[in-house]
Amino acid sequence: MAEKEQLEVLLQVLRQFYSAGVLKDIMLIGSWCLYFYRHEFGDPKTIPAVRTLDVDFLIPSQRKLEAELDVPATLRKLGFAPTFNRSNGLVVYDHPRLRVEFLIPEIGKGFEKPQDIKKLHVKAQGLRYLDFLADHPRLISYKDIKVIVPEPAVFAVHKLMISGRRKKQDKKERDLEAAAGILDWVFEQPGELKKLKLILQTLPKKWLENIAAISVRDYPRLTAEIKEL
Amino acid sequence: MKALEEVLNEELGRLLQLEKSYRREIKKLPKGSIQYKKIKGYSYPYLVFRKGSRVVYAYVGNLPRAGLEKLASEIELRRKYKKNLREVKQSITRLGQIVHGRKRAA
Repeated sequence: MAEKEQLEVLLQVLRQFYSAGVLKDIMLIGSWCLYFYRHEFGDPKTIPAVRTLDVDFLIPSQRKLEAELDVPATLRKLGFAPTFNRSNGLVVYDHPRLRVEFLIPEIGKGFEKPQDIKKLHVKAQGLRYLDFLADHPRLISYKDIKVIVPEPAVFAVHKLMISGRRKKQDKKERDLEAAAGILDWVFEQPGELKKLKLILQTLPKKWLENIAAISVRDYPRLTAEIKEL
Repeated sequence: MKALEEVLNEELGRLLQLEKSYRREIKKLPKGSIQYKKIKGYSYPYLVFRKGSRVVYAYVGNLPRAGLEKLASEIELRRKYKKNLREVKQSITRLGQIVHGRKRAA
């Protein structure tokens, strides 16, 4: 599926969210961040192209959502249809070119089922480690909108962490490819490398051990950085 | 190779589910188009749709303005969904040929 065609649909979604005042309180996560990183950082060759149908929005905190928007109605107008998962009650929004899903950080015991996000009229799936992304936002200006994505270093480290939990080989490979591409760029940028080191210093020991174990084979430079902490 | 098959099957599954979703949503939306008839200098809105072999003109001028706008947007949405449904069906055909072609070759 051509990136250009998918991008057209994604921008329609982002523009609707931006004009409703919602985009400033949610974070675009997942592989579409790669597109915005490439735009923001002058299209570095190491950052891979986007190859996904999934558009994931993270809602860092329900309390911080200021604006209200009927997201299902908004997406319907753009040609999305709701797809219901009867087993857990989650609704995702499908289009021939994209799938939109909402996520929230899962902490502690976690959630038994998707959570209602009242201001957006959607349900959001809880996933582990999303608070790590939510704690490190980066604002990117793109044409007529501003979109919040995770800091690139955090995005890459998160991809490494979740690659170890992936059951599907193709998704695992894409996670590792994205992580490696971003880290190659981070290691070339002194400012970004400094950020990476500061972020690693804040992580729990167990997380660092996990990241080091994964990166020792797939990105040894990161393992070396962790050992120096 | 197995990873590629999984990806193709996953996408085919998504498209089949999306086809069902579009069909379900299209059923809920009004058919036809709004056309205006000029009678004695005044414009009157009618919902025009096909019922079997007949073309039906249903007067909708008694709707409040908001209702008429809602009707128009639902008709537009139905058109958009039908266009997307055509795209989905084409993708299902293409992907089905690849997936089932691979199975036959195997």
